Amino acid sequence: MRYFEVKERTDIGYVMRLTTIEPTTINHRGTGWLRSYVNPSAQESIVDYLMQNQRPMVSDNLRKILDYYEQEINDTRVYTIYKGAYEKGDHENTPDYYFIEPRSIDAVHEDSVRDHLGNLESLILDQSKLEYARIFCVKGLKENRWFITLEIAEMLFRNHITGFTVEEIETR
Amino acid sequence: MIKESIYQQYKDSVVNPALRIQIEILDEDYHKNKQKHMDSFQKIIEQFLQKTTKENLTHVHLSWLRTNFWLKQELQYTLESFNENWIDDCKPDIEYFDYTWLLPYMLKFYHMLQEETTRKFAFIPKISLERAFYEAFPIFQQYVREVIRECLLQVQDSRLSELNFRVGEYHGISELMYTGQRTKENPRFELIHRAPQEYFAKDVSDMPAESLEYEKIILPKIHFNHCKFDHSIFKEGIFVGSHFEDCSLQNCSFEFSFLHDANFSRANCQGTNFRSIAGNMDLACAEVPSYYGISFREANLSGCDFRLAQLKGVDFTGANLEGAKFFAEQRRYFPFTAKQNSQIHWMREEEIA
Repeated sequence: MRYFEVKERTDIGYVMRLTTIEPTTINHRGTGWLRSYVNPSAQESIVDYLMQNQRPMVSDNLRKILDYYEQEINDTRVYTIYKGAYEKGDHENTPDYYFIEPRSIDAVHEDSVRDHLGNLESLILDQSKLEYARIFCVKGLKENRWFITLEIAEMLFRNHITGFTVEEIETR
Repeated sequence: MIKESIYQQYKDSVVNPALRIQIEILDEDYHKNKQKHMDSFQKIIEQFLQKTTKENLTHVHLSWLRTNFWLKQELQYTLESFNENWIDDCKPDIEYFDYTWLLPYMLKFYHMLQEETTRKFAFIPKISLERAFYEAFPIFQQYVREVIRECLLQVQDSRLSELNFRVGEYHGISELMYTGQRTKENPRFELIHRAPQEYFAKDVSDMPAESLEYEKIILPKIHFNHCKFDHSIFKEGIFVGSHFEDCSLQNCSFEFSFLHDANFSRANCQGTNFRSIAGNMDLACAEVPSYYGISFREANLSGCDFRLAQLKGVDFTGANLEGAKFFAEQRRYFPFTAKQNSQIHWMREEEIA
C-alpha cells in the first residue's frame, strides 16, 4: 500500500481565505459551529483545501469524499457569510468549510530519522500498524499533518479537488 | 474565480481543439503500432498471472494512476488480483508498472493548453487548466483499454478462462474487458469476438453483392474495398472496425448496427439508413473524431437518415450531407461546417408526428 501526505498548494496564485472565524454555538462535544465573513475578489480562486490557522480545512465536496471512506473524522463546520461589495450571486459556488481532525495512529517506524531534540527529520510509516487506515494523522508529530492512501489520492484527482498536493511517504 | 459558463467557453475554444489535434496524431500511431503495444501488454499480463499466488483468483484489474502523473509526470499502471470478494478483498496482489506510450501525447497536450491559455484566456487560473487536463485523462487512456481488449485474446494462460478482467480507474469506474463465463455481462465483447474465424477475411475486394438481405450478420474488421452493396439490408449487424472505403452502399439499411471504428471514407451512401446505429465507445469525446467514432471522410451521405444514432467521435470531414436527416437536438454535438449545417435537414419532433 502506498501512503501520501496531503499538503496545501502554494503555486496557484490568489486563493480565497477566511478572514475572521467566530464561534456561534457549542455542542456537547465542545466542537460547535463557526462562522466566517468572506469577501472574495475576482482574482481569487476558491479551492477545496486550505490550511487556516495551521489547521487543515476542507470544502463540503472534499468532506463528502473523505466521509465516504472514513467515518471517524471529527469535523467542525464553518459557515461562510458574504460581506462586502460583491453580491452573493457572483460567488454562489463558495462552499462552507470544515476543520477536520482525522484519527491519530501511532505509526512512526523505528527507522525514522530524528534530530537531537527529538523532532522528526524524515518520516517513515510502519505498514503493520496501518492496516485498514485510509485517512489518518500520526501520533507524535508536532505539525498538523495528515495522510491518505493511494485510493483516496486517486479519488481526489478524479473529482477535480483543488488546492492540495500530495507527497509520497516511505513505508516499511 | 471563474463561472462555469466561462469554463465551458474556455473548453470549447482552447481545450477541445488542442485535444482534437493530439488525439488525431495518437490515433494514427495507434493504428500503426497496435500490434507492438498488444505484445508488450500481453507479456506484462502473462508475467503477472504467473507471479500471482492468490487463491480463488476471480478478478484482475488494470488501472491507470493519475497520482504519478501529478507527482513525477510519469504514466504508471497497476495490475491487481482479487478473490471472489472482488473489491472487498482487502489484500489484493498488486504490481506497478510504467508504460510510457501515451506520455508524449499527454505532455504535448498539456503544453498546448498552457500556451493557448496564456495567449487567449490569460485570466483562467491554473486550477481550471489542470481540471481541463484531468478531465481529458480517460480519453487518452481509452487507447490502452482498447489495446488490452484485443490483447487478452492472445494471452496464453489457462487461468484467464476462469476470471474477469477489468480496466479502468484505480478502485473506481472500470469496464469489464473479458469474462470467463462470457455471458450477457459483457455484450460488447461477445459482439466483437464471437464471429467465426472464416469471416475474418482480410480483404474482400471488388466483391459484387447487390441486394443482400443479411440481418444480424457479424462482419467485423473486414476490408470491403470497392464493393457494391446497393439496396442491401444489414439491420442489427456488427461491423466493428470494418472498412467500406470507396464502396457503393446506396439505399442500404444499417439500422441498429454496431459500427464503431468503421471506415466509410469516400463511400457512396446515398439514401442509406443509419438510424439508431451504435457508433462509438462510452468515453469518446463528441468534439474529437477518433478511433471510436466512424469515419465518413469525403463520403456521399446525401439523403441518409442519422436520427437517434450514437455518433460521438464521428468524422464528417468533407462529407456531402445534402438532405441528410438529423434531430435538431443533435446539432450541438458535432463540429459541422457552415455548408454542412445548411445542407442537413434538421428535424423536430413535431415534424415526425
